[in-house]
Amino acid sequence: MTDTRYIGSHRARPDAADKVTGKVRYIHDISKPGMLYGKIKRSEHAHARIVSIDTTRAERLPGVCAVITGYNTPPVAVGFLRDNSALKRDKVRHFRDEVAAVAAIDPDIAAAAIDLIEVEYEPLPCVFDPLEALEPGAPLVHEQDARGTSVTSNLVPMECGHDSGDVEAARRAAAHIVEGDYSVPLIQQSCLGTAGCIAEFDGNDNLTITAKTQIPFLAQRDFNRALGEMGLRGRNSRVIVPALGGAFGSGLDTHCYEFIAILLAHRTGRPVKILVDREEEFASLSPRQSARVKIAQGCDAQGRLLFRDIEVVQDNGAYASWGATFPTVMLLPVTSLYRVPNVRFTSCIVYTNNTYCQAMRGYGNPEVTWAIDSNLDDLADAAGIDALEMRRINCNEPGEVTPMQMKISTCGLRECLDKTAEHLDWSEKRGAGSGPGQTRTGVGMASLIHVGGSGRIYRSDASGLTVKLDDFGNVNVFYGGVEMGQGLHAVLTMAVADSFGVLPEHVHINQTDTATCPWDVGTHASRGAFMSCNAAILAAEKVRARIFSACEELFPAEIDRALTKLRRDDPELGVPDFDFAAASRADNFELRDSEVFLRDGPDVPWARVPLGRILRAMHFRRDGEMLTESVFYDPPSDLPDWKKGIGNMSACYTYGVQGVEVEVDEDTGEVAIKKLVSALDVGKVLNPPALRGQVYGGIAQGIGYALYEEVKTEQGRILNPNFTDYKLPTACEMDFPIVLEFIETDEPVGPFGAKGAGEPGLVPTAPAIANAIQDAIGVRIRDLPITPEKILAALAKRG
Amino acid sequence: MILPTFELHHPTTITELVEIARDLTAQGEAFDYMAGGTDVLPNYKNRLNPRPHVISLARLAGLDEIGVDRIGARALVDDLARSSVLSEHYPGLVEAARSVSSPPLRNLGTIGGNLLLDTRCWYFNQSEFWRESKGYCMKADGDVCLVVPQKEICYATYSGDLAPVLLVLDARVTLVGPDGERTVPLREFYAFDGITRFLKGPAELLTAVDIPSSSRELRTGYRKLRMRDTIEYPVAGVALALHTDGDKVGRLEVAVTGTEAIPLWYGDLDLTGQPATPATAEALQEALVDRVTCYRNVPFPPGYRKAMTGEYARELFSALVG
Ligand SMILES: Cc1cc2nc3c(=O)[nH]c(=O)nc-3n(C[C@H](O)[C@H](O)[C@H](O)COP(=O)(O)OP(=O)(O)OC[C@H]3O[C@@H](n4cnc5c(N)ncnc54)[C@H](O)[C@@H]3O)c2cc1C
Ligand code: SF4
Repeated sequence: MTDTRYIGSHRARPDAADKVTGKVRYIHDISKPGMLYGKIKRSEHAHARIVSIDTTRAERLPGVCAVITGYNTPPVAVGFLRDNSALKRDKVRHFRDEVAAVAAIDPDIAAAAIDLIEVEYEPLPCVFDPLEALEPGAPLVHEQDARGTSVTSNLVPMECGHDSGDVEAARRAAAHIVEGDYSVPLIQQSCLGTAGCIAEFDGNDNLTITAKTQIPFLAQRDFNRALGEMGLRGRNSRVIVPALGGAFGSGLDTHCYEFIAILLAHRTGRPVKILVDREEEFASLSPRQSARVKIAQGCDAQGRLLFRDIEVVQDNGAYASWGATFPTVMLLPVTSLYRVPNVRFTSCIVYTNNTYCQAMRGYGNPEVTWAIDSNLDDLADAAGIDALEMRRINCNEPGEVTPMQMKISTCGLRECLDKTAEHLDWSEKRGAGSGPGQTRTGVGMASLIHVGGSGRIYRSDASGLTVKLDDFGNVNVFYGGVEMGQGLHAVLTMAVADSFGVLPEHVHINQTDTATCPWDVGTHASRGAFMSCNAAILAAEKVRARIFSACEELFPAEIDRALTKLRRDDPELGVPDFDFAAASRADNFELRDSEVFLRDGPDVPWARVPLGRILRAMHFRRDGEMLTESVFYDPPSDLPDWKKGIGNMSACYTYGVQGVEVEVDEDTGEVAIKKLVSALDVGKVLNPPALRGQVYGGIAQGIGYALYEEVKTEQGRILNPNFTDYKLPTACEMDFPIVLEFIETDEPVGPFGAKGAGEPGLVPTAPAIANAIQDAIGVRIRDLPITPEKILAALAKRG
Repeated sequence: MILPTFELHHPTTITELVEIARDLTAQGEAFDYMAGGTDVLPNYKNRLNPRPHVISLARLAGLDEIGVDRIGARALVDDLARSSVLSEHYPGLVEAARSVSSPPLRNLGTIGGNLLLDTRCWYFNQSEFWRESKGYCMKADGDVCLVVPQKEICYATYSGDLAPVLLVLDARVTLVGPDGERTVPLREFYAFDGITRFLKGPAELLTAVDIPSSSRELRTGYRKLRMRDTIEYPVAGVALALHTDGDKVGRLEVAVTGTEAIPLWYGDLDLTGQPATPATAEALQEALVDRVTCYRNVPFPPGYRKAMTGEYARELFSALVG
């Protein structure tokens, strides 16, 4: 590989100009000739039997082209447990369950038609609390599983746990033990760009769907399966991903509205667009679930962690989506954040009549890190050890194999702790206490571990990448991962430029499309940069080898041609005494900034041949060739045994620490953040501004999680399905200095040494804030979000 | 969300406006006035009592002056927030204006619309679908209250920021309608519940807010409870106006917003003659907490909102004495 001149540098993102000038086309901006607008009739009950659906009035409304229900369409199962269906028959299990849909010539008519559909329900007893749902006699959300077998409980059939060492013995041996019950609320991914899709069939019944998704290829598989269920077995779906206005995990599964658009498009023979509005996004696009985490940790007299025992109960809501697999990622911090020899983890995921949940940035990690790192501070207190020292004592180290059998290659946790402490003035400020008037100041920190080399949760964890070089020296890249605002195309452009040796202006990342791009498992698990750049490096090796081998024949001729031309203009041209033909061996060539030259050749302009020239020469010679290459990068990791919670699920691991200084007003309970420090071991900084953006954004989400955000429900109904009442932090809430430190540990399996960094930003923010609050006022808040009234109530208890 | 259809009227003079209002009233046609529209239009989108006619104030000339005695009803909240005259005489009013929603909304919203802002409630400010599935409440389309079911009045929360400051300043509002012009003390203007809200005929236009010169002796302050520092309605807001006589309280006026269905002026809180000390501040705090009632229909639990009205009053008192 050539040296890196673009990786690590500041460059404008390739998508920046279109974004700032409003040229980008999101799903909302796209329309097709003859397109119809779909709208969904949703349940008005959290749990009810559907007695009848009367669509006659809607069908008669002029402009309505189709009205469908679960009774006049083939059943299409949805979700990895197949426990959901595109349109419900027999019963609804949460608010806004899809019971009917229309396609009409404009959105107003579609909305009017929806109001004309009459559904008669017979309400059923509901259950909204996961613990109540587990009690004997609780109403069953599903009476049968997908195979039609009767079930007797609301437990989602997902087993994930861990038991290593001997927790009971360690408990007996521990000098200090601290237990705690923690909880996290239901929250929303809050993408500024709401979801939507356009489905259309060609004359052969093949489907093209433009969809807001992070998993185009798994979506293709789901849609193909649906086509089979619709009697179109063997037909194909092509998934095209438009520009996305954020995803944060909401695009990690296929959704009922997409299948409904497919059903409507097939019924009408016309393209059908369905847009999900903000309220629907809150209620039916699957937020991050609430969970209760029961934790006990114990250490010896010197503060060395002896055991960790964690039980998680997670509210799944009415159907299973990827949220039900969160415990698989919880395993990461549970078994491997800090060195802890004896670990037990049990998880249970419970069906309720709440909205169902799925992926969000961090995927289970923030939920348990909240408990682990808050509880660790209390344990340090009990042991009489400074909280920073406690973390140092138990710090993970490179080369470690954790109880989950995760192989820690590089680990910058210790440097992260030190940097955070330094920027926070830890030794001065920790325990120092008082601020002005009735305010108290405090500092706190929390750490994180996350997958840094993708996360193997599916049979294949690979990413394919195809490059097609053209006569002009362009490198067209076809990659199946998704740009959703995080800067994937920017970093991939840099990686291609550096690994191929071409100018970034010559690199073009094409739209993600299952018809043109090779397979990719999806853009999740902080894997975009790690996977795509590794794939780019593999592709570069192949392409460069082919170019250099062709150059053995072509390069001397190109030099001759160049010289002949130059001599015509300047007969006096001095030519160094160098035998180009003899030196032209594949391993002597170098390609940099789109020019091929000989590594030990003379350093004169005419001894460099533009790549385009070489490519044309390759094309237009006898038996000519065009350069395309495809690679398939599969990272070195194992699919864990989830029941045992054992397996090296990622090729490497990212570590980090956040530290916070807060000021708490003891009279009002209000918390003001005075400073936040984030130290993150990313292996190598690939794209400095984009990385900073990822971390800033993560911190903003972490602060939302810690202090503001909560989807409030009342009997399963969401009370705040809008951004007036759902409290996302604004610029005002981010008005404090943030210090970023990036530790470069040069990860051997990482592209250019880098590890994934997309999700970590939000993982440790909440426990760091809670620990700082505890330092300031001596109270421990265990339930997110940390609102001022919770602080006042805790202060009143403290006395 | 899509707006419902309505006929939009664009009078350019008050006479023309009054005529349109008179005609529509005579025809039995319901209408709303719209100034900035930052309250009317979101409510219309949610199908909250939309009317078939809207009379826009956008093309009226004038009514936007800002002076120490008089503020035109169409004056922008943002202009109040930036007014040097007001900041010199009534800093509390400027603080309140600055705390209204967000910069773009302050650039559209007017003082008139702010004073006449509709009340807010979890069960009211929702989409048509949401309200239909829950069952409509009496503030729109239904006949029960979902917050206090046994009662026959609406407890939706008054959420304007300017009213409490204008209440402590003893402002008066001028109303013009088909039956002529009248002036009402703001302290008598707000009345009844979250549906009735104030004593204004549907056809009456608010043209101006007058502040008596006697209020110039007062030092004013405003503080509101909100979760974030922007785009937040007050869920408990306190305005204080204080005149000290030596080291004693000469005159103290207190008003509260974001607690009940109307902003409330506490005229019975007489602390005149009390020493301007922390002890008096605490007495004020206690007296206010005793009087304030909140309902569970906006963010933050009622107990916390109640406590914060007292707390903010105490802090404001000390700051104004300071
Ligand atoms: C997201 C959001 C946040 C907000 N936050 C706040 C906040 O923090 N504090 C706050 O106080 N407000 C807030 N508001 C409400 C609103 O923006 C302001 O109160 C604004 O000042 C209203 O003025 P307007 O001119 O836009 O009113 P409009 O919407 O035009 O009118 C409001 C009401 O007053 C009537 N009206 C208006 N002018 C007249 C007149 N001259 N005569 C007779 N009737 C009239 C209208 O018919 C209507 O009933 C918020 C609004 C939104 C959407
Ligand atoms: S307080 Fe009662 S009547 Fe008033 S808006 Fe709320 S639910 Fe409706």
